[in-house]
Amino acid sequence: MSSADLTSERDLPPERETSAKGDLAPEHDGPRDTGMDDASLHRWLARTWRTPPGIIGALSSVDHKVIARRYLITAFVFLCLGGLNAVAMRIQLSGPQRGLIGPDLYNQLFTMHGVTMMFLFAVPIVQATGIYLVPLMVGTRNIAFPRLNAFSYWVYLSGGAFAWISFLLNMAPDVGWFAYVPLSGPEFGPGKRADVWAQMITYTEVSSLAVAVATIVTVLKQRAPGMSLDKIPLYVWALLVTSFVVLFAMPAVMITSTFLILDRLVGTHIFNPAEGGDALLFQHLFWFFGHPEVYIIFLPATGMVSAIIPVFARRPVFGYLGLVLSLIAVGFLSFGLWVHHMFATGLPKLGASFFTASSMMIAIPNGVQIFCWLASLWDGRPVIRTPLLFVFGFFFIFVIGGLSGVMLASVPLDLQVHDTYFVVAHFHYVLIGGSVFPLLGATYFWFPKITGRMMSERLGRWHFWLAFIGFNAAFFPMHLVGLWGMPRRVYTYPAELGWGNINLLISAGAVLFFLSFVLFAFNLVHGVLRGVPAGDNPWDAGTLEWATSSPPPSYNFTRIPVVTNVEPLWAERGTLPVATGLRVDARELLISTVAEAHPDIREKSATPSIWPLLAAIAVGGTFLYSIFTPWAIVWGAAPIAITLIGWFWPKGDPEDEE
Amino acid sequence: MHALRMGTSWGGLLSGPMAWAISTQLNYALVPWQCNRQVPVVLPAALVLASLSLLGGALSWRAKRQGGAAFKPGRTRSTEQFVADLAMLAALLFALVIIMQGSAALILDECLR
Repeated sequence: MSSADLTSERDLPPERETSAKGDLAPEHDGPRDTGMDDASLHRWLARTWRTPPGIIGALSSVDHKVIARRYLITAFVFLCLGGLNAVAMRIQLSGPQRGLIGPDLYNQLFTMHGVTMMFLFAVPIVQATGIYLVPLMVGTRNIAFPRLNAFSYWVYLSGGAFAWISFLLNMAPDVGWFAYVPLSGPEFGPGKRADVWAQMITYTEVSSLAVAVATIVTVLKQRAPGMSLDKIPLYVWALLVTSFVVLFAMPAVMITSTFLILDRLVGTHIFNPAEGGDALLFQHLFWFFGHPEVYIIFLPATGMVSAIIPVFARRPVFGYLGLVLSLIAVGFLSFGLWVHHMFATGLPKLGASFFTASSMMIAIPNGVQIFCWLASLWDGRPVIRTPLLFVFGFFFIFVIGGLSGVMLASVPLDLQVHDTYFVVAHFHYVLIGGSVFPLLGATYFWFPKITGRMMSERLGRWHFWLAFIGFNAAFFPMHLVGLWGMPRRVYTYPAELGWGNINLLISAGAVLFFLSFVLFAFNLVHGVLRGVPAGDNPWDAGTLEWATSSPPPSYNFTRIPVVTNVEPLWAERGTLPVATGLRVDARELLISTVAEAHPDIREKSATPSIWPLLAAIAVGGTFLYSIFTPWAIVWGAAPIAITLIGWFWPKGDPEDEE
Repeated sequence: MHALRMGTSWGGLLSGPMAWAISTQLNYALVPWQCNRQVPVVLPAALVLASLSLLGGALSWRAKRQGGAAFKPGRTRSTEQFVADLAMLAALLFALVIIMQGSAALILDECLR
């Protein structure tokens, strides 16, 4: 069957005639893309899907690519800030008894480092890559609920600004990124520092939940015709599973932070054992979120690896079924490991061992993934480019982190090294190896799509080796110093303990690792300004995001592609079959069925609006005010309600038609 | 009855994670109870839940053989088989995790802290 046949066969059925009876307004139909020539189609779509000019226009944008770019840049700024926290700490620890940083500032530094990296960098950046790539990869014109998506960005930005302005005002949280009670409770946490932690969490989790909802609906309902469940790109599968994990994990930490602020502000005693509360409840609630959080960061990274490997191995990924199974299994199992963060709290040993079992068994699906990737490379003809180098770095570092994870899953060993630098080494190997290295590889891989230009390959290789050597020099010795007994979160240590030399080595490695990011930032700027033009598909990749121009137009695809294979661009080397029948004078999407992605209905996509920004300001103001008085919820409800009414009020656009 | 006769492709995807979640929560809650009454319940509960997981996997296996919901308009056999394969493997994996969790009761004393 030729592409032309497919095109005509898969035309959307003409709309049913509507009658004016009942409450339903008659639908005003407009011109469709069927039979329209490319130049006219481009003109129509560009006008319909454009972001309005001017500052108000920019602030009103609902284009998923525009929002994602803002997310990516903001998250990168937070990465730099969190990295500077780390460098400051490493300079302080580079020798015994250094007096550069006092204990109070050090407490704020390690808290801000953890909070920034986990809540303001890692989660937002993996979700942001999804916001950019998922609609392109599934062949649709915008993300689902685009105004909600815009709202999520503004809430995230205000949460991040709130935390960092607090830091500048010397009132940043100083209770660690997990802010255990009673340290963070009203008894031991005077001032507003712990409140800043609690509300910053609420901001970022609201934002994260909004993105998760939009991603899930995009993947389940907006896939291109033919993209049945067995033809979804693995990166999209990863984002789908991650979004479900976000949906079930984030409410737990929002409840934790809300309970904490109730204890601190209203005078409840939810976490106060002296009044019948339960301090351990805080840890259970926090880690029921906290452990899945690790996988929220890690699973999208595995999706990136699964996207990069087939392109550079020059063959479809080996074991698609096994990889999807691994993603789903890890997503579920991530909710059954949380107690392994609490082995030192005196829980019954038999109860704790259930979590040991799950912690060890999650290595099976993760191992399946690693072997599938290795098999893909083994059977392919690998072309070693910078993205693949970072994938190799990921293999090496993540496997070491996984092995120390299996060690820590054992209660006796965990009790010995609890709260030491061994744990710090382990989670940096897992998080940086498991997420940051794939993210860096993904940056080199998808940068041409986002900017239309290539990053420098030579600088990329230098970047990789500097990052790889710097990372291992900084974090591997932490295993040793942890086994020697050095506790985490100490601002200094006495010279007699003999930890000076190894800490100096760690600090030197940290500086090297930091320099690798300076080089990376230079390569990014150089790529944007002077990079070689990339073309649509510089890597000859097989998934749909490469079927459109680089950078993609506001409407993503001139015509909606039809998918016949998991690597559609490899299967249809000539012309990609397309579906037609969508309106061009209104923002219209094709909605498909969940399992088979059969074309189902046409649906409108929201137009640009300033209301999400106004709603985010109202929500952010309410959260900020609520660290001072619980009445903020009452007074804040009015502006929030007004902005939401403005948001949903029909504006008379074609998109508002029923 | 269609679901039993033709199989249910997603059976194992539902039963595996569900049985494992129940096993984790139930057994965690049963440890103090078993300690107080000295009645071994953790291991039998784990075995029952592992069987539940496998039962869903069996439904998926049936769907792979019989076609599952492929008789419905707009559903294809290949997607049904993909989901069934996924579900059978999930049921197996989660049954294994449940048995691993339960087998801890063979080694550790329930009252040990």
